[in-house]
Amino acid sequence: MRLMRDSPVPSKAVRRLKAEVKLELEYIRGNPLKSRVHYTKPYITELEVEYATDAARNGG
Amino acid sequence: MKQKIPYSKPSITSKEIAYASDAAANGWGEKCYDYINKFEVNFAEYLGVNYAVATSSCTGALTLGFAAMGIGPGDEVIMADTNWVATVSPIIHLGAKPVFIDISSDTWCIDEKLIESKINKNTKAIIATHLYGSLCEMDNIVAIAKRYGLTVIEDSAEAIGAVYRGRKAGSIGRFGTFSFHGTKTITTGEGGMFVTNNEELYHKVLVLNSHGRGLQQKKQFWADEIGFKFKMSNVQAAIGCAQLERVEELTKRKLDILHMYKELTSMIPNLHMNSEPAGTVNGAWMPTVVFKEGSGITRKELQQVFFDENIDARAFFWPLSALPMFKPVPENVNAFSIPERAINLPSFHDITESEQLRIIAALKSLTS
Repeated sequence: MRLMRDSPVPSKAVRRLKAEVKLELEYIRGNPLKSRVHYTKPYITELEVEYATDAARNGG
Repeated sequence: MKQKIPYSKPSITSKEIAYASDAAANGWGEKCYDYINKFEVNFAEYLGVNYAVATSSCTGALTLGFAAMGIGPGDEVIMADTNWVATVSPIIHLGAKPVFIDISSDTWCIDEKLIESKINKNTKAIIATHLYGSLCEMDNIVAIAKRYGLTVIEDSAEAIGAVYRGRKAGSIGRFGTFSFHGTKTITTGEGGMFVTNNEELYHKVLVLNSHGRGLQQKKQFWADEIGFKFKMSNVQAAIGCAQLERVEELTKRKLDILHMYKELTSMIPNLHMNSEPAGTVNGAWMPTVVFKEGSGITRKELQQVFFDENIDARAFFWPLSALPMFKPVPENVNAFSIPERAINLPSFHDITESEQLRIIAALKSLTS
Protein backbone atom coordinates (compact mmCIF):
# COMPACT_ATOMS: atom_id res chain seq x y z
CA MET A 1 0.00 0.00 0.00
CA ARG A 2 1.47 3.30 -1.02
CA LEU A 3 0.26 6.65 0.21
CA MET A 4 0.72 9.86 -1.70
CA ARG A 5 3.23 11.90 0.27
CA ASP A 6 2.87 15.13 -1.64
CA SER A 7 -0.89 15.49 -1.27
CA PRO A 8 -1.47 18.98 0.22
CA VAL A 9 -4.43 18.06 2.40
CA PRO A 10 -4.83 14.33 3.02
CA SER A 11 -8.43 13.21 2.90
CA LYS A 12 -10.08 11.62 5.91
CA ALA A 13 -9.76 8.21 4.27
CA VAL A 14 -6.05 8.70 3.66
CA ARG A 15 -5.49 9.88 7.22
CA ARG A 16 -7.25 6.74 8.40
CA LEU A 17 -5.10 4.60 6.11
CA LYS A 18 -1.93 6.19 7.43
CA ALA A 19 -3.04 5.62 11.00
CA GLU A 20 -3.77 1.97 10.25
CA VAL A 21 -0.40 1.46 8.58
CA LYS A 22 1.30 3.00 11.64
CA LEU A 23 -0.63 0.68 13.93
CA GLU A 24 0.23 -2.32 11.79
CA LEU A 25 3.93 -1.44 11.82
CA GLU A 26 3.87 -1.01 15.58
CA TYR A 27 2.12 -4.36 15.91
CA ILE A 28 4.66 -6.14 13.70
CA ARG A 29 7.63 -4.60 15.52
CA GLY A 30 6.26 -5.53 18.92
CA ASN A 31 5.00 -8.98 18.01
CA PRO A 32 7.17 -12.06 17.52
CA LEU A 33 4.64 -13.58 15.08
CA LYS A 34 5.33 -12.89 11.45
CA SER A 35 2.71 -10.91 9.61
CA ARG A 36 0.81 -12.67 6.85
CA VAL A 37 2.25 -12.46 3.35
CA HIS A 38 -0.64 -12.16 0.91
CA TYR A 39 -0.35 -13.60 -2.57
CA THR A 40 -1.97 -10.49 -3.92
CA LYS A 41 -3.66 -7.29 -2.93
CA PRO A 42 -4.71 -4.22 -4.88
CA TYR A 43 -2.63 -1.07 -5.16
CA ILE A 44 -4.85 1.66 -3.73
CA THR A 45 -3.84 5.29 -3.49
CA GLU A 46 -5.67 8.46 -2.55
CA LEU A 47 -6.74 8.70 -6.19
CA GLU A 48 -8.80 5.49 -6.09
CA VAL A 49 -10.36 6.46 -2.78
CA GLU A 50 -11.29 9.90 -4.03
CA TYR A 51 -12.76 8.53 -7.27
CA ALA A 52 -14.86 6.04 -5.30
CA THR A 53 -15.97 8.83 -2.99
CA ASP A 54 -16.92 10.98 -5.95
CA ALA A 55 -18.84 8.09 -7.56
CA ALA A 56 -20.79 7.52 -4.34
CA ARG A 57 -21.57 11.23 -4.05
CA ASN A 58 -22.34 12.07 -7.69
CA GLY A 59 -22.40 8.95 -9.80
CA GLY A 60 -25.63 7.21 -8.81
CA MET B 1 -36.84 26.79 -19.81
CA LYS B 2 -38.18 25.35 -16.57
CA GLN B 3 -35.83 23.35 -14.40
CA LYS B 4 -35.88 19.66 -15.30
CA ILE B 5 -37.67 17.25 -12.96
CA PRO B 6 -36.05 13.81 -13.27
CA TYR B 7 -38.21 10.75 -12.65
CA SER B 8 -35.69 9.26 -10.27
CA LYS B 9 -32.43 9.81 -8.46
CA PRO B 10 -31.00 8.24 -5.33
CA SER B 11 -30.87 9.76 -1.86
CA ILE B 12 -27.19 9.94 -0.94
CA THR B 13 -25.96 11.37 2.36
CA SER B 14 -22.58 11.68 4.06
CA LYS B 15 -23.19 8.19 5.46
CA GLU B 16 -23.16 6.51 2.02
CA ILE B 17 -20.13 8.56 0.96
CA ALA B 18 -18.19 7.74 4.13
CA TYR B 19 -18.93 4.01 3.88
CA ALA B 20 -17.93 3.93 0.18
CA SER B 21 -14.71 5.80 0.96
CA ASP B 22 -13.93 3.41 3.77
CA ALA B 23 -14.53 0.38 1.55
CA ALA B 24 -12.30 1.83 -1.18
CA ALA B 25 -9.53 2.68 1.29
CA ASN B 26 -9.70 -0.28 3.65
CA GLY B 27 -11.93 -2.99 2.23
CA TRP B 28 -9.27 -5.24 0.83
CA GLY B 29 -7.44 -8.40 1.86
CA GLU B 30 -9.15 -9.97 4.87
CA LYS B 31 -11.69 -7.15 4.85
CA CYS B 32 -12.76 -7.56 1.23
CA TYR B 33 -16.09 -9.16 2.16
CA ASP B 34 -16.85 -7.20 5.34
CA TYR B 35 -19.44 -4.83 3.88
CA ILE B 36 -20.92 -7.59 1.72
CA ASN B 37 -21.38 -9.88 4.72
CA LYS B 38 -22.83 -7.04 6.79
CA PHE B 39 -25.22 -6.03 4.01
CA GLU B 40 -26.47 -9.59 3.60
CA VAL B 41 -26.98 -10.15 7.33
CA ASN B 42 -28.70 -6.82 7.85
CA PHE B 43 -30.90 -7.23 4.78
CA ALA B 44 -32.05 -10.69 5.87
CA GLU B 45 -32.85 -9.29 9.30
CA TYR B 46 -34.74 -6.33 7.84
CA LEU B 47 -36.80 -8.58 5.59
CA GLY B 48 -37.38 -11.27 8.20
CA VAL B 49 -35.80 -14.13 6.26
CA ASN B 50 -33.05 -16.59 7.10
CA TYR B 51 -30.72 -16.06 4.16
CA ALA B 52 -29.65 -13.31 1.78
CA VAL B 53 -27.04 -13.29 -0.99
CA ALA B 54 -25.93 -9.96 -2.45
CA THR B 55 -25.65 -10.02 -6.24
CA SER B 56 -24.60 -7.80 -9.12
CA SER B 57 -28.23 -7.26 -10.14
CA CYS B 58 -31.75 -8.50 -9.56
CA THR B 59 -31.42 -10.33 -12.88
CA GLY B 60 -28.43 -12.17 -11.46
CA ALA B 61 -30.42 -13.05 -8.34
CA LEU B 62 -33.30 -14.39 -10.45
CA THR B 63 -30.92 -16.41 -12.62
CA LEU B 64 -29.29 -17.98 -9.59
CA GLY B 65 -32.65 -18.80 -8.01
CA PHE B 66 -34.13 -20.35 -11.15
CA ALA B 67 -30.94 -22.33 -11.78
CA ALA B 68 -30.84 -23.52 -8.17
CA MET B 69 -34.43 -24.76 -8.56
CA GLY B 70 -33.38 -26.70 -11.64
CA ILE B 71 -35.57 -24.70 -14.04
CA GLY B 72 -34.53 -25.67 -17.55
CA PRO B 73 -35.57 -27.04 -20.95
CA GLY B 74 -39.13 -28.38 -21.05
CA ASP B 75 -40.23 -26.35 -18.03
CA GLU B 76 -42.82 -23.58 -18.13
CA VAL B 77 -42.92 -20.56 -15.86
CA ILE B 78 -46.10 -18.50 -15.52
CA MET B 79 -45.67 -14.75 -15.22
CA ALA B 80 -47.44 -11.48 -15.91
CA ASP B 81 -47.18 -10.16 -19.44
CA THR B 82 -46.36 -6.79 -17.87
CA ASN B 83 -42.81 -7.00 -16.60
CA TRP B 84 -39.42 -5.54 -17.33
CA VAL B 85 -37.52 -7.88 -19.67
CA ALA B 86 -35.10 -8.70 -16.84
CA THR B 87 -37.72 -10.96 -15.29
CA VAL B 88 -38.05 -13.18 -18.35
CA SER B 89 -34.49 -13.19 -19.70
CA PRO B 90 -33.12 -15.67 -17.11
CA ILE B 91 -35.92 -18.10 -18.00
CA ILE B 92 -34.96 -17.92 -21.66
CA HIS B 93 -31.24 -18.25 -20.91
CA LEU B 94 -31.94 -21.39 -18.89
CA GLY B 95 -33.92 -22.90 -21.77
CA ALA B 96 -37.36 -22.79 -20.13
CA LYS B 97 -40.56 -21.32 -21.56
CA PRO B 98 -42.32 -18.25 -20.16
CA VAL B 99 -46.13 -18.24 -20.20
CA PHE B 100 -47.49 -14.71 -20.22
CA ILE B 101 -50.85 -13.95 -18.64
CA ASP B 102 -52.76 -10.74 -18.17
CA ILE B 103 -52.53 -8.28 -15.32
CA SER B 104 -55.15 -6.90 -12.97
CA SER B 105 -56.47 -3.52 -14.05
CA ASP B 106 -56.30 -2.47 -10.39
CA THR B 107 -52.87 -3.58 -9.13
CA TRP B 108 -51.17 -4.01 -12.54
CA CYS B 109 -49.74 -7.25 -11.12
CA ILE B 110 -50.45 -10.79 -12.37
CA ASP B 111 -54.18 -11.57 -12.47
CA GLU B 112 -54.16 -14.65 -10.28
CA LYS B 113 -57.64 -15.66 -11.48
CA LEU B 114 -56.09 -16.54 -14.85
CA ILE B 115 -53.24 -18.66 -13.54
CA GLU B 116 -54.97 -22.03 -13.26
CA SER B 117 -56.04 -22.05 -16.89
CA LYS B 118 -52.38 -21.94 -17.93
CA ILE B 119 -51.09 -24.70 -15.66
CA ASN B 120 -50.07 -27.95 -17.35
CA LYS B 121 -47.73 -30.87 -16.67
CA ASN B 122 -44.70 -28.76 -17.62
CA THR B 123 -45.48 -25.85 -15.30
CA LYS B 124 -42.88 -25.49 -12.58
CA ALA B 125 -43.26 -22.02 -11.12
CA ILE B 126 -45.27 -18.83 -10.88
CA ILE B 127 -43.49 -15.48 -10.74
CA ALA B 128 -45.24 -12.84 -8.65
CA THR B 129 -43.79 -9.50 -9.68
CA HIS B 130 -44.80 -6.68 -7.37
CA LEU B 131 -45.02 -4.07 -10.10
CA TYR B 132 -43.98 -0.52 -9.20
CA GLY B 133 -44.26 -1.49 -5.51
CA SER B 134 -47.87 -2.69 -5.77
CA LEU B 135 -48.48 -6.14 -4.36
CA CYS B 136 -49.65 -9.33 -6.02
CA GLU B 137 -52.51 -11.15 -4.32
CA MET B 138 -50.08 -13.49 -2.60
CA ASP B 139 -52.51 -15.60 -0.53
CA ASN B 140 -54.39 -16.68 -3.67
CA ILE B 141 -51.20 -17.27 -5.64
CA VAL B 142 -49.63 -19.34 -2.88
CA ALA B 143 -52.86 -21.37 -2.54
CA ILE B 144 -52.90 -22.13 -6.29
CA ALA B 145 -49.23 -23.09 -6.23
CA LYS B 146 -49.79 -25.38 -3.27
CA ARG B 147 -52.73 -27.06 -5.00
CA TYR B 148 -50.62 -27.89 -8.06
CA GLY B 149 -47.24 -28.42 -6.38
CA LEU B 150 -45.69 -25.33 -7.95
CA THR B 151 -43.12 -22.89 -6.68
CA VAL B 152 -43.86 -19.20 -6.09
CA ILE B 153 -41.09 -16.73 -6.77
CA GLU B 154 -41.35 -13.09 -5.77
CA ASP B 155 -39.70 -10.61 -8.08
CA SER B 156 -39.53 -7.78 -5.58
CA ALA B 157 -37.10 -5.66 -7.57
CA GLU B 158 -39.49 -2.70 -7.23
CA ALA B 159 -41.05 -3.55 -3.89
CA ILE B 160 -38.76 -2.86 -0.99
CA GLY B 161 -40.93 -1.42 1.75
CA ALA B 162 -44.07 -3.19 0.53
CA VAL B 163 -45.88 -5.27 3.13
CA TYR B 164 -48.52 -7.95 2.45
CA ARG B 165 -50.61 -8.82 5.50
CA GLY B 166 -47.72 -8.39 7.92
CA ARG B 167 -45.05 -9.96 5.72
CA LYS B 168 -42.57 -7.96 3.72
CA ALA B 169 -42.61 -8.42 -0.06
CA GLY B 170 -39.94 -10.90 -1.06
CA SER B 171 -40.21 -12.96 2.11
CA ILE B 172 -43.30 -15.00 1.15
CA GLY B 173 -42.32 -17.13 -1.85
CA ARG B 174 -39.71 -19.91 -2.14
CA PHE B 175 -37.30 -17.12 -2.89
CA GLY B 176 -37.42 -13.40 -3.51
CA THR B 177 -35.20 -11.02 -5.42
CA PHE B 178 -34.47 -7.30 -5.11
CA SER B 179 -32.88 -4.63 -7.25
CA PHE B 180 -30.58 -1.86 -6.05
CA HIS B 181 -30.28 -0.15 -9.43
CA GLY B 182 -29.65 3.59 -9.22
CA THR B 183 -33.34 4.33 -9.74
CA LYS B 184 -34.53 2.14 -6.88
CA THR B 185 -35.72 3.11 -3.40
CA ILE B 186 -32.43 1.91 -1.94
CA THR B 187 -29.46 1.65 -4.23
CA THR B 188 -25.94 0.34 -4.61
CA GLY B 189 -25.57 1.87 -8.08
CA GLU B 190 -26.13 -1.52 -9.66
CA GLY B 191 -26.88 -4.53 -7.53
CA GLY B 192 -29.39 -7.02 -6.27
CA MET B 193 -30.24 -9.51 -3.54
CA PHE B 194 -31.45 -13.09 -3.43
CA VAL B 195 -33.43 -14.02 -0.28
CA THR B 196 -34.93 -17.25 0.97
CA ASN B 197 -35.84 -19.22 4.07
CA ASN B 198 -34.87 -22.48 2.37
CA GLU B 199 -31.43 -23.62 3.50
CA GLU B 200 -30.93 -26.07 0.63
CA LEU B 201 -31.77 -23.45 -1.98
CA TYR B 202 -29.47 -20.97 -0.25
CA HIS B 203 -26.56 -23.41 -0.35
CA LYS B 204 -27.20 -24.15 -4.03
CA VAL B 205 -27.18 -20.44 -4.81
CA LEU B 206 -23.89 -19.98 -2.94
CA VAL B 207 -22.31 -22.76 -4.98
CA LEU B 208 -23.73 -21.54 -8.30
CA ASN B 209 -22.59 -17.98 -7.56
CA SER B 210 -19.05 -19.17 -6.93
CA HIS B 211 -18.56 -20.73 -10.37
CA GLY B 212 -19.90 -24.03 -9.07
CA ARG B 213 -17.28 -24.56 -6.39
CA GLY B 214 -18.73 -26.80 -3.67
CA LEU B 215 -19.05 -25.33 -0.19
CA GLN B 216 -16.88 -28.11 1.27
CA GLN B 217 -14.44 -28.14 -1.62
CA LYS B 218 -10.89 -27.65 -0.30
CA LYS B 219 -9.06 -28.08 -3.57
CA GLN B 220 -8.11 -24.72 -5.01
CA PHE B 221 -9.56 -23.67 -8.36
CA TRP B 222 -11.71 -26.80 -8.51
CA ALA B 223 -15.24 -26.30 -9.86
CA ASP B 224 -17.67 -29.11 -9.11
CA GLU B 225 -20.22 -27.90 -11.65
CA ILE B 226 -20.77 -25.09 -14.13
CA GLY B 227 -21.99 -22.06 -12.28
CA PHE B 228 -22.19 -18.31 -12.53
CA LYS B 229 -20.67 -15.27 -10.94
CA PHE B 230 -23.14 -12.54 -10.06
CA LYS B 231 -21.35 -11.06 -7.06
CA MET B 232 -21.64 -7.60 -5.59
CA SER B 233 -18.45 -5.68 -4.82
CA ASN B 234 -17.52 -4.54 -1.33
CA VAL B 235 -17.69 -0.85 -2.35
CA GLN B 236 -21.25 -1.32 -3.64
CA ALA B 237 -22.22 -3.19 -0.49
CA ALA B 238 -20.83 -0.34 1.61
CA ILE B 239 -23.31 2.02 -0.04
CA GLY B 240 -25.99 -0.60 0.49
CA CYS B 241 -25.19 -0.82 4.21
CA ALA B 242 -25.67 2.91 4.57
CA GLN B 243 -28.90 2.87 2.55
CA LEU B 244 -30.22 -0.01 4.63
CA GLU B 245 -29.58 1.92 7.84
CA ARG B 246 -31.93 4.55 6.32
CA VAL B 247 -34.45 2.11 4.81
CA GLU B 248 -37.39 3.13 7.01
CA GLU B 249 -36.80 6.80 6.18
CA LEU B 250 -36.38 6.06 2.46
CA THR B 251 -39.44 3.81 2.10
CA LYS B 252 -41.63 6.16 4.15
CA ARG B 253 -40.63 9.07 1.96
CA LYS B 254 -41.61 7.17 -1.19
CA LEU B 255 -45.00 6.37 0.32
CA ASP B 256 -45.49 9.99 1.36
CA ILE B 257 -44.77 11.10 -2.21
CA LEU B 258 -47.35 8.62 -3.55
CA HIS B 259 -49.95 9.81 -1.04
CA MET B 260 -49.29 13.42 -1.94
CA TYR B 261 -49.88 12.58 -5.61
CA LYS B 262 -53.07 10.74 -4.74
CA GLU B 263 -54.34 13.71 -2.80
CA LEU B 264 -53.44 16.13 -5.61
CA THR B 265 -55.05 13.94 -8.32
CA SER B 266 -58.20 13.13 -6.37
CA MET B 267 -60.18 15.71 -8.34
CA ILE B 268 -58.94 14.59 -11.75
CA PRO B 269 -61.60 12.36 -13.35
CA ASN B 270 -60.97 8.95 -14.94
CA LEU B 271 -57.58 8.53 -13.32
CA HIS B 272 -56.30 5.56 -11.30
CA MET B 273 -53.08 5.39 -9.28
CA ASN B 274 -51.18 2.63 -7.44
CA SER B 275 -53.66 0.57 -5.47
CA GLU B 276 -53.47 0.03 -1.72
CA PRO B 277 -55.76 -2.88 -0.78
CA ALA B 278 -56.62 -3.32 2.90
CA GLY B 279 -53.90 -5.12 4.84
CA THR B 280 -51.11 -4.04 2.52
CA VAL B 281 -48.50 -1.31 2.37
CA ASN B 282 -47.57 -0.26 -1.15
CA GLY B 283 -43.83 -0.03 -1.79
CA ALA B 284 -44.56 3.13 -3.81
CA TRP B 285 -41.46 2.81 -5.93
CA MET B 286 -43.03 4.33 -9.01
CA PRO B 287 -46.20 6.45 -8.63
CA THR B 288 -48.15 5.86 -11.81
CA VAL B 289 -51.26 7.35 -13.36
CA VAL B 290 -53.49 5.24 -15.59
CA PHE B 291 -56.37 6.95 -17.36
CA LYS B 292 -59.52 4.95 -17.96
CA GLU B 293 -60.30 3.65 -21.42
CA GLY B 294 -62.54 6.16 -23.14
CA SER B 295 -61.04 9.07 -21.20
CA GLY B 296 -59.35 10.20 -24.40
CA ILE B 297 -56.00 10.71 -22.63
CA THR B 298 -53.16 8.85 -24.31
CA ARG B 299 -49.57 8.06 -23.40
CA LYS B 300 -48.36 10.13 -26.32
CA GLU B 301 -50.26 13.17 -25.05
CA LEU B 302 -48.97 12.62 -21.54
CA GLN B 303 -45.39 12.32 -22.78
CA GLN B 304 -45.75 15.43 -24.90
CA VAL B 305 -47.12 17.62 -22.11
CA PHE B 306 -44.44 16.37 -19.73
CA PHE B 307 -41.77 17.00 -22.37
CA ASP B 308 -43.07 20.54 -22.88
CA GLU B 309 -42.87 21.12 -19.12
CA ASN B 310 -39.33 19.62 -18.88
CA ILE B 311 -40.55 16.75 -16.73
CA ASP B 312 -39.23 13.22 -17.25
CA ALA B 313 -41.91 11.05 -18.85
CA ARG B 314 -41.38 7.39 -18.11
CA ALA B 315 -43.56 4.96 -20.04
CA PHE B 316 -45.48 2.10 -18.45
CA PHE B 317 -43.87 -1.27 -19.28
CA TRP B 318 -44.82 -2.71 -22.66
CA PRO B 319 -46.20 -6.26 -22.62
CA LEU B 320 -43.31 -8.70 -22.91
CA SER B 321 -45.24 -10.70 -25.49
CA ALA B 322 -45.17 -7.62 -27.74
CA LEU B 323 -41.36 -7.75 -27.90
CA PRO B 324 -39.94 -9.09 -31.16
CA MET B 325 -38.54 -12.28 -29.61
CA PHE B 326 -41.94 -13.48 -28.37
CA LYS B 327 -45.31 -14.34 -29.88
CA PRO B 328 -47.90 -11.64 -29.06
CA VAL B 329 -50.68 -12.56 -26.63
CA PRO B 330 -53.27 -9.88 -27.47
CA GLU B 331 -55.88 -11.52 -25.24
CA ASN B 332 -53.87 -10.00 -22.38
CA VAL B 333 -55.98 -6.91 -22.87
CA ASN B 334 -54.88 -4.99 -19.78
CA ALA B 335 -51.20 -5.59 -20.48
CA PHE B 336 -51.66 -4.29 -24.02
CA SER B 337 -54.06 -1.47 -23.25
CA ILE B 338 -52.75 0.17 -20.09
CA PRO B 339 -49.36 1.34 -21.49
CA GLU B 340 -51.25 3.36 -24.08
CA ARG B 341 -52.94 5.52 -21.42
CA ALA B 342 -50.45 5.58 -18.53
CA ILE B 343 -47.29 7.25 -17.34
CA ASN B 344 -44.93 7.00 -14.37
CA LEU B 345 -44.50 10.14 -12.28
CA PRO B 346 -41.22 11.47 -10.85
CA SER B 347 -40.75 10.32 -7.26
CA PHE B 348 -37.17 10.82 -6.11
CA HIS B 349 -36.82 11.31 -2.38
CA ASP B 350 -35.89 14.99 -2.56
CA ILE B 351 -38.76 16.01 -4.81
CA THR B 352 -40.38 19.19 -3.51
CA GLU B 353 -44.03 19.98 -3.04
CA SER B 354 -43.78 22.67 -5.71
CA GLU B 355 -42.31 20.13 -8.15
CA GLN B 356 -45.17 17.74 -7.45
CA LEU B 357 -47.61 20.62 -8.01
CA ARG B 358 -45.91 21.37 -11.33
CA ILE B 359 -46.36 17.75 -12.39
CA ILE B 360 -50.03 17.72 -11.39
CA ALA B 361 -50.59 21.00 -13.23
CA ALA B 362 -49.22 19.33 -16.36
CA LEU B 363 -51.65 16.44 -15.89
CA LYS B 364 -54.56 18.79 -15.29
CA SER B 365 -53.76 20.74 -18.44
CA LEU B 366 -54.73 17.63 -20.40
CA THR B 367 -57.97 17.02 -18.58
CA SER B 368 -59.36 20.54 -18.32
